[in-house]
Amino acid sequence: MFKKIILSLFIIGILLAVGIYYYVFVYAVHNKRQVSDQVAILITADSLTANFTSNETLANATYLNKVIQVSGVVIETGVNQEGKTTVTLGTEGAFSNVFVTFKNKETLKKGDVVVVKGFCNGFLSDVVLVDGIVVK
Amino acid sequence: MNKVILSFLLVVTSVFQLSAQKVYATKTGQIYFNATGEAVKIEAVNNQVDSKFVESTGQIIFGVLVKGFKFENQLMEDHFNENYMESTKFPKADFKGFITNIKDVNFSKDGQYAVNVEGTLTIHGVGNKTNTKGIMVIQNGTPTLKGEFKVDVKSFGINGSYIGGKIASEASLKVNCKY
Repeated sequence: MFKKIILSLFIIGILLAVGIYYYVFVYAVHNKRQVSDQVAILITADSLTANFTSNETLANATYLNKVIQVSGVVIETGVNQEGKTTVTLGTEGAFSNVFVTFKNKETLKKGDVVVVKGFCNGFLSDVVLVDGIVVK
Repeated sequence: MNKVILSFLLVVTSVFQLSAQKVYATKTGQIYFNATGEAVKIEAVNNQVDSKFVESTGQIIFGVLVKGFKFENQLMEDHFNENYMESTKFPKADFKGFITNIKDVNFSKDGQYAVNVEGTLTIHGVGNKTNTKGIMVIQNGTPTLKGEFKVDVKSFGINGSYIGGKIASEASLKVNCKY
């Protein structure tokens, strides 16, 4: 009887350790937060920029680390050092705009009116969105 | 008459000086973060580094959003943001300073130039004077700044368990910015 209890405790212990190991080192690597399965905050590129330029602290509290769905005009396209597509959305000549880095290669061009979704990282010279996907 | 000529010359030269004030900028620079202590690798990369420098003076600035550091492991990324960097409270890190020997770099000649960078690095709301060496690579007139340096995590007021153990007490930052 005593042996059985020890044995089952031992088995439970091993299962628990394997479970924790799996969750921390396997599950967490393969299940990253995805832009596509989160509810997005809808806003235009120009209002998002305006919110950050007028009150950055408030805007950070509202948008930081959230998925934002932004609509706007493509004013610049580019490729980052990792080869990923980037676009700037907003108004040409404006001091700040919305700078989006896409998850996959996208074929967008200057002048396109688009709706994109991405995680908001905050505000440098532009509002920065990452892991972007094109909605339409 | 002389005064008129002098002021004319002054205006002309100042205009020339302004046009010589060439600024290089990027929004897609890279910074690699590595704080691997013991067995588990703790690495992240940020591909949205905002940086500018002035060719004539060597004045340089880097800005980075802490939430932009992407880890392979989501849990690690969440811990980095919540428990160590407190990125909701301190969303940005930056460096403001000078390339002290910018005159050694010949922007019109391809090659690699050793540079010294001095300034203030602000992480987690704490600013520390820093100086480091780097390499400025000129290729077809495009400069790329590369460098690697160590930061003492605790000197930026970053506390939390595991530092000194699983997490190295000195994190390494590798910069690679193509302007």
